[in-house]
Amino acid sequence: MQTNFKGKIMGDRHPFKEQLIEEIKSLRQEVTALKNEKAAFEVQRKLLENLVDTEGFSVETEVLKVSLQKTLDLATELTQAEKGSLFLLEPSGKIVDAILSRSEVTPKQTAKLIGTVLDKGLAGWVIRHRQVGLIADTEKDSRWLTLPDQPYTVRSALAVPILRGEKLLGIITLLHSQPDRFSLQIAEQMRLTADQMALVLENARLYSKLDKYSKALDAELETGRQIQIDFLPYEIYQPANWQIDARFYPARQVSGDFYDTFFLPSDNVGLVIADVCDKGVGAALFMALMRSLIRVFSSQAKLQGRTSTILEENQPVPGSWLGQSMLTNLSHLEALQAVSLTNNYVAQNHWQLSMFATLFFGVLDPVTGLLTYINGGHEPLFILGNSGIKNTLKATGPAVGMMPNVKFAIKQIQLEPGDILIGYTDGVTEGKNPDGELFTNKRLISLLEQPAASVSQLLDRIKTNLFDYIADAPQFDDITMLAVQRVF
Amino acid sequence: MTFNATLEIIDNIAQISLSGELDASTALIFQEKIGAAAAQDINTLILMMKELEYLSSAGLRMLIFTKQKMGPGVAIYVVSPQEMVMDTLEKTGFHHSVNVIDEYDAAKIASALS
Repeated sequence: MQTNFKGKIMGDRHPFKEQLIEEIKSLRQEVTALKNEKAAFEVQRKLLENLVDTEGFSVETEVLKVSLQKTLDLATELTQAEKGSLFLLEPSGKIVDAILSRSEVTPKQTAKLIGTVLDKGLAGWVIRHRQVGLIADTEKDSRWLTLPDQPYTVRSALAVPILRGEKLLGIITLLHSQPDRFSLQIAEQMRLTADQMALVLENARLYSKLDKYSKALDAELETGRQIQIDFLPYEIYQPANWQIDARFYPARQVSGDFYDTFFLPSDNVGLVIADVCDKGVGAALFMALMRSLIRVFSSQAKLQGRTSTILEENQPVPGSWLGQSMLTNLSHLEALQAVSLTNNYVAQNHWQLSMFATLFFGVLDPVTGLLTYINGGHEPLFILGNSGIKNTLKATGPAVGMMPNVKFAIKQIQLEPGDILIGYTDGVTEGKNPDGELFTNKRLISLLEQPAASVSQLLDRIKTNLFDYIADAPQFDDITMLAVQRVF
Repeated sequence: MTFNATLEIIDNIAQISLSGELDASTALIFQEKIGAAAAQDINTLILMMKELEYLSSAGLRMLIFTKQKMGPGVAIYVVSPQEMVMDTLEKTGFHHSVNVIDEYDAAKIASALS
């Protein structure tokens, strides 16, 4: 390029001289523009470098101040100014923060500046005109305002607005005690620098806003989590001769899964495992509703009429009542009314949300081991004996809350000494490994087929295997398990 | 596999073809299609599920939403669901609320409606 250029000068003595001068001019302009761009780029690089360094900072002032202080120092250095200041402004021109070059200002001085409105002098002019203010000599420029007790004599001044679109975010002022220290070229460089600063400033503000918002949200969710834990039993109810244990691992802070174990006034034990559709806050709200409705309805629902007629009309499927005592059968039947009552309540009052839960509700007589249950669209529960799975308690009706007035068939089964009843939510069988493959029923069943010393040991075995399988893949769904063993 | 839903409306019949995994993260895509279909004057909704590989509870929630949104005047057909999807529909009892069919035969559906 240079050779050609030289060659051209040597070859063209007269006719193209003017054209050459024009070319040189244009090249000079190009070089100047490139220099400006380079300087701005350098500032941007430093700014970004600095922001990356300070990414861990959470407080807005920290992120901004560290970043802006370094930028201002750099701008002061680039322009060879003696003093520099950077004011962050409100749209009214009121100072919200002040940064001075080389950190030479005391916090007390900064505090004094905050709240001041920049409406006078050069800064005031820049704010009003939204453009760069360059004063070659303060003694010849009316925009400069000399205050009586000013300790430092200023002759050259350059003030640059930091603009993001129409929004004025701040102003940079650079000063020198000698006149004619800032050229138009420097002023243009600083305008480009201010553009980059505006971008960084806005990003930092957005980052900070996001950070604050995310922390506030986290705190809210944590409160939600604590309240949700309160909707699980404080202590798992342990009737004599029985062992009951549960595990609960929500995918997020709050969950739609729940389990419950509680004592019924009829001397029976209520056993619930359920999974509200979807995840997160919505599911958690319905979890609280459904858990409470089941608890309340199960101890209050009473069927009117002759016991024998009621039992005749509400036979379990298939066949007849297993329980020897009519009163026990009736108390189980009455407690189980909670499922259809909850279903109708949710389907009639919250149908617009299309929320539902798959829910198993079992009523256990701890003396005889008689279990009467409804499985409302939930994963099958298993009864494990000495030689593995003895029975599978499949769905006896649809998921709860989907449609009003649907029938939930009831079933009865006898738990013998040593038998374990285990229920789980689909977070177990649909746990995904890093390749996206499901844990599957098959894996769960193979774990259930191995003998277990206790319900706790069985649950720990499943938990360990499942979490080993999921490994470092994200946990997609809530995981809940409930196990009940008749010890004697 | 990523979820995809395409809607086609011919006369009074809306057909939505589903593929991939319908779960909490993709449910809204499906909901939009249902909204678009419900805005038209239709009497039949065909849900092509042959390519649908997974239906989570959040996805099932969208099917219940569909049933409610369409109301009693729209017949809903679920066509060729895969085994795992069918398991979910059966386990939760939702298969009672729709017509599950192996193959979509427009003529048959039209005659069933008439």
